[in-house]
Formats: sequence, structure tokens, C-alpha cells
Amino acid sequence: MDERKWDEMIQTALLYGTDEAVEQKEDVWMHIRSRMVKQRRKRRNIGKWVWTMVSAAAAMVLVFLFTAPGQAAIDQVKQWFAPKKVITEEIEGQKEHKEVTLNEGKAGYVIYIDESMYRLETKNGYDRIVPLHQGGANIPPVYMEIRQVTDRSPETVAAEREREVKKKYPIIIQIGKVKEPVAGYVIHGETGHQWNDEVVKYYVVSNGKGGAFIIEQRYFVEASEGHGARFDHMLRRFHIVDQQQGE
Amino acid sequence: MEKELIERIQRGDEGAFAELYQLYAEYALRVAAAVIGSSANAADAVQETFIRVYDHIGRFDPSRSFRPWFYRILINECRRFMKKQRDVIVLSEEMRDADLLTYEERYAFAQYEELYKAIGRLKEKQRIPIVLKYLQGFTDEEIADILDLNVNTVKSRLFKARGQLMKWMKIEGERGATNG
Repeated sequence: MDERKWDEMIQTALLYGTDEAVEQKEDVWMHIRSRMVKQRRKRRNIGKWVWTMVSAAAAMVLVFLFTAPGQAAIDQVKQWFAPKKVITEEIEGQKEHKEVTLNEGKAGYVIYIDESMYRLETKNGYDRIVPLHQGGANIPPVYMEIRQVTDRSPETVAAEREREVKKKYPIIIQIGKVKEPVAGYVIHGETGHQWNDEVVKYYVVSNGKGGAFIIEQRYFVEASEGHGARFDHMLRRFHIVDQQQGE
Repeated sequence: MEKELIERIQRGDEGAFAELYQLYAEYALRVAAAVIGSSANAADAVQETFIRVYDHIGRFDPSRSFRPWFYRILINECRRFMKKQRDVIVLSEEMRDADLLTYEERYAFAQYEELYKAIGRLKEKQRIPIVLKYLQGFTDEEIADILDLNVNTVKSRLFKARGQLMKWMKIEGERGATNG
């Protein structure tokens, strides 16, 4: 028998002989999927544990701050932040140098805002950072709202927001833990892929006392690299200074 | 395209992992069945392989070829299963549906069945290169890379394995002729 014919025979024998194994393809995938889900849950639980430990450590620091000498130190904490500073940030691939101004939110935090583009206002009792110039009536509103809740943990709030976003937004961009621009949870969804489809992005950050800061960004798809990126840059300079004024 | 798929998996895209499974599962199951000699254990080995890939994909360098990396993991898993069940290394599973064939087809089928059994009787160090070469079309160099062997060693094992199979099949043919 020539070598080529012999090679073909070996190959055919192996294919015939292993046909039965291929029938298990779907079953094997079901097992793999189930194990992946279990692993994901396990990782999430480990993440929650780590987050709880970090929260506990932060709470200890805050207990110090809110004791009598600690309370007096808060004003000092605020003084650590320069009233104005010049920063560099990259927006749509371009580096921008700008002067930002320290603003104090009523929910117990400070944040630096580029006041040539945005202002901090109060809407329905909550702090909102809004562009000085909003778009037309057919463009979704753009803002970043920051509030504090003291009766629910960051995990509970993140789970509530996750349910809400999954219900209203067919496109889920990201759900999970993040370290940047703030350390906490992110829930990010979009209504569609059109330029003016709505975008919502929540960050949930521990307040260090069992409660949470909820940072809600609203803009539209085309503004993701503009307002969306600017809001995230602002959050890099978000600092908790007081936990007294939550819901 | 495969590089892009791997990069998507590395970014945590589970849909991309499902696509990878569709691309690799069939031949992974065939290779595992031929190496281990048991369809049930092949399924377990393939399952473990994909879980390992899922867990360790972050360490894979996407500028390299994924296929040899995948098969190296698969062969290691197969070896682990063979070690557990040393007595199940012969390809003993009957090929099915022979009753539905004509006399000529049945003769060819019987030949393939004998040949498949003969591959199962090869020593592990000869069987694995044969399976990788004929089921997956790997080159001698790729097999050497997967098995961490010298290319000449792979060539030598393939040569000896083919010779052994020919010898066994010749004996089988003569026995058949003697039996009428």
C-alpha cells in the first residue's frame, strides 16, 4: 500500500473511531458553562468580602474623624485641598490644560470642577454638576448627580441600580467593581447605538459608615468621549469629607 | 481573526469564549477520545481543558499561535486521566452502525475498526503524535512544540508507529484470509 493511501486510512480510522465522542459536544459545553457561572459567583463573593474589609477599614478611619477631635479636623481636611489648581486631562485624544475650582457638595464631599464648562447646582434637593450649555430639546439631558444614602450598603445600592439599569437599558456596557475613577461599583448601560441614545452610568462608593455615595452620570452616546470622559476625570478629584448629610 | 477572538476573551467577553468552544470542541473531543481510548473520559478531559483555558487565558500571549497552546493543555489533561485509569488506554469502543452497511462497506468498516483498535494498542508516546498528526494535521515541528520534544524524536516516533500499524494490519489481513 502506498504511503498516501496509508495516511488516508489512518485518518479515516481515527475519524470513524471518534465519532461517538463528538456527540457529547453540547453536554460538555453545558458543564463548562455551569462551572464558569460558579466560578464567577465565587469571585464575586471574594470581591464582596474584600470590599467589606476595605469598608470596615475606612469606617475605622472615619470613626476617628467624627470623634470630638476628629470633627474639628474636618475643616482642616477641607483646607488640604487647594481652592484652584491647573490640571491636564486627555479628552478625545487631545491633552487639555485647564484650571479647576474646588466645590463643596451638600452631600459631604468636595470635587474640582472646570467652571468654564460646568457648574454645581441643586436639583430636587440633590447636587448636580451640569454643563453651562445644555443641548436642544431633542437631546437627552447631561448631568452628574451625587447623593449620599446612609441606610443601605454599597452592595445593596449597586444591586438595586443593576436591576434598574438591566430593566431599562437593553445594552449593558459594564457592571462590576472598579478602581478608577473611584473605588466602588459601576453599572453602565445604553438605550441603543444611535448618536442621541441615552447613556446612564452609576458609580456606587462606600461612605465608610455602612452607607454609600451614588454618582449618577447621564449623557448620550455621542457625548461619551466628551461629557462622559470629563465626568470621569472630575471623579478622580472627588473626596469624601463629611458623612452627615445623607438621605 | 483567532487573535482577535483570544483578545476578546482576555477582556472578559464570554460570548467570545463560546465561539472558541464551537471552533475547538469537536476536534478536542476526537483527539481526547483517541488518546485516552474512552469517550466518557474524553468529555471530562475536554471540559477540564476549556476550564483551564478560561482560567489562564490572561497569561497567554496573543501574538503567539493559540492552537499549540490549547493542545498542550489538552494532552496534559488526557495524560492526567490516563494516569488515573491506567487500564483504560486501549481504544476498545466498538464502532457503531456496521449492521447498516453493504458487504464491501462492512469490509472497509471492519478494516478501519481494526486500524482504530491498533492505534489504541500503540504505546502512548507513539499514539499521541499519530493522533495529533492525523486528526489535527499538526506538522512534526508543531507536535514537537506541543509535546516538548525534539523534532527528530517526533519523526522517529511517527515512523515507528506507522511501521507498527502496518505490521499489525498485515497480520490481521493474513489471519482473515486464513480463516476464509
